[in-house]
Amino acid sequence: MKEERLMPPQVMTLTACGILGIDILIVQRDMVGVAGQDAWISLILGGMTAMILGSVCYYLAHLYPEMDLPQILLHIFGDFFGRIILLPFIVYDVLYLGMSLRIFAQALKMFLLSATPMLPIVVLILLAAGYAVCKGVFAIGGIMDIIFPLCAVTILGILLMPMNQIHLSNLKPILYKNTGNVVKGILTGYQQFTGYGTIAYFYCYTQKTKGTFKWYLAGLGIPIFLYIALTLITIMVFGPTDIGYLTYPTLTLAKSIEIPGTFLERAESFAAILWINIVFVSVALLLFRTKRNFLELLHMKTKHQNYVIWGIALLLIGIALFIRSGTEAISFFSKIKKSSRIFGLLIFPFITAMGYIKKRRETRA
Amino acid sequence: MRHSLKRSSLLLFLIGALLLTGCWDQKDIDTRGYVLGLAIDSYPPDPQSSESTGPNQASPQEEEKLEKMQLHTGEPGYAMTIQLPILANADMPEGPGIQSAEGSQSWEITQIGNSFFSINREMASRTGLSLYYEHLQVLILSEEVARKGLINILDMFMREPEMRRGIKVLICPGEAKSILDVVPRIDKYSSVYLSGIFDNSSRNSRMVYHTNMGDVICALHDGHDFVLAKVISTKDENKASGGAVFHNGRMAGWATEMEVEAINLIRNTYEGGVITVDTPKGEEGRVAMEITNEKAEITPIVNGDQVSFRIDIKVEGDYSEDINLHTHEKLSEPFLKSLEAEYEKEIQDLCTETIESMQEKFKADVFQFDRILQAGEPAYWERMGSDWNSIYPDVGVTVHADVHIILTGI
Repeated sequence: MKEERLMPPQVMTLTACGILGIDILIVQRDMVGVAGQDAWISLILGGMTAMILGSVCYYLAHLYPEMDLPQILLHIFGDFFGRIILLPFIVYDVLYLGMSLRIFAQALKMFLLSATPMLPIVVLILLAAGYAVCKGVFAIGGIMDIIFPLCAVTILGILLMPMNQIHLSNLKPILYKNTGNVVKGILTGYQQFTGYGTIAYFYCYTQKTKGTFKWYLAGLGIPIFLYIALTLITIMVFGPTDIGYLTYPTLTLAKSIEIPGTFLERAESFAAILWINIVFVSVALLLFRTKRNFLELLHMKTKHQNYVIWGIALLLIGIALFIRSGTEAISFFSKIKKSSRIFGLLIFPFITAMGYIKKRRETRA
Repeated sequence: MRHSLKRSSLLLFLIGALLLTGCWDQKDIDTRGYVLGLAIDSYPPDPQSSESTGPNQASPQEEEKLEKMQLHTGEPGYAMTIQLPILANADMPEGPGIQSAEGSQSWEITQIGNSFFSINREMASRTGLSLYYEHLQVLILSEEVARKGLINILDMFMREPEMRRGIKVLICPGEAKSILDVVPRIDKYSSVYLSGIFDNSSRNSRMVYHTNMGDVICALHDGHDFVLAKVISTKDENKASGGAVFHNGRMAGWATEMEVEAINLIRNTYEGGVITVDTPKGEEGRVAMEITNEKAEITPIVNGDQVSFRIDIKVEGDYSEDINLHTHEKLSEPFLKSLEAEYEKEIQDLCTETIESMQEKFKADVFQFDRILQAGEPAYWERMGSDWNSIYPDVGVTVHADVHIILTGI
């Protein structure tokens, strides 16, 4: 029985923060690259897919309400096979987290801290996130409660402020000889939201009430709405061709905001500062997941978790700085992101099906 | 154990404090060179527009020694001039009387080269300040540079994170640097003065106020034609009026003030302005209407491989002034209706003439009919889009204006 219990509304903030992350900077470019001006349609369909598969993930967590994902895997598949299945999760989380830190550092360097080396940027955010993870899940939940509304308001600000620059014609023609690409884009859209798997790590710490699932769906719905709106606005402001030339369309969108008068010429700095918070919560959540995975893989006790956290942090620094070229880093990050489809579409439904069968057998026995 | 934890926390705090108190990007405000304006001229310069030097200034030969740089490859093709405010002189009285080097409120540095990024870095060898472009207000290009094509020169302005998409891109008929040399009568810096002129777009429709870097970049990437603001100057004054027409990314010619007014009406970029017509019947009077609201709708009419456009312009305005006419008893409904008809005719004629001029003189689709076809008639565009440059000059366009006078003053 876990001592700390998260409130159901915190499930919403944790789920939303698990989805929002570094991708918020490049989601439009990924989507427009596949589906052109119809990218927003692919994102809607991808979001709906994520809602369905996210519900499957929630059901898995709900089947074993006092266990998190690594414990569930060991319980369903046994100590050996459970650990084998856990390995790809660990590899994905470590690589995704490492490359997220890298993209974060290079974007920050590009827009805000041009002379600062990437190492201190990565180390400082890891120190902050690692400290939060050391303090436990309740501390993480508390931080999210403060940061999430600020992040949501900032993103809404970025969405609303460039409204005077939009051209509706940039969205047209809608679905003209582009249906195939839109369908292809559903997978790309879906992979933006695979962070919903975070619920499998936090559900066991949550108060179980009837409304928890609704809060979870709200947590899924908020980032889906924000990503769709962000993609729509960016297409309407820049057009699909111009987005192809932008490395970080969201930051360029923030930079394009013009506030009358000369007293606030760098309004996007506020967006950048709050974006650091988005990345921080995303890193903290992923670090927590990775810590839990490692603890179960290595069969270590919770009292040794600090060694695991800082050990992972060292590994992440190496991964983040391993690739020298920024373009290669973005390309590698996209490949890792693509592999998240396998977890969402195949592995999670498979584990859920096996968990269901196991549970039925246990109940009968 | 607890003791050692406290010690390590303290150590961590001290290391953190050490790391966080200053960062690599720390820069004192007085060591930054805030670039307010940037002008690009062709090099070698046109001999007719050579710079004049005052009695206390260096000779042209000495100036050129400073301005030239060694190049890794190629020959110098451009002269880039930046305007930096001299913050120490910021409190001094302003105006054209203050022209001595000691009293000047801004410093214009010119550097010659063939890559703007390397020119920018070379400038660092001439000033102790760290050049900073986040506050750049205007980018002025000479006609010669604009005619060579924008896509060749704008890459640094798209790529460099300090550059903003809201920078105003302006074209100047002579030497672009001369615009920065203007000593304004009210403002301290010519770049700020020039940028401020465009805030009056709601009062004057004859300037191109959609002249931002972001708009230019989008148009260049999408392959659309466009118009940028034209700027001319005297020693102490600028005027932003008329426009430079761009076709296929290169400047094709100048649009007059009236043509810019028509382009603004058609492209829905009309913020406000005044149209004057002669009185409808007999009397030699003239009436000015201030346009308060304008909306244009462009409808493509596709018939097989043939295409034409219908433009409906709805205008609302206020009766602002009459000249040689005493209307206090005459502002009757029939009089206003006949006046509205005159305005409709004026707008229709102005727009039709401008469209014909753009088609015949420049072959430039500054109204972006191609964009309308791409969005609204994708099947036609798929068939004929590649031939658009040859189709556009002969495209038929009909203009219909609908004018309503709302207020008549006190």
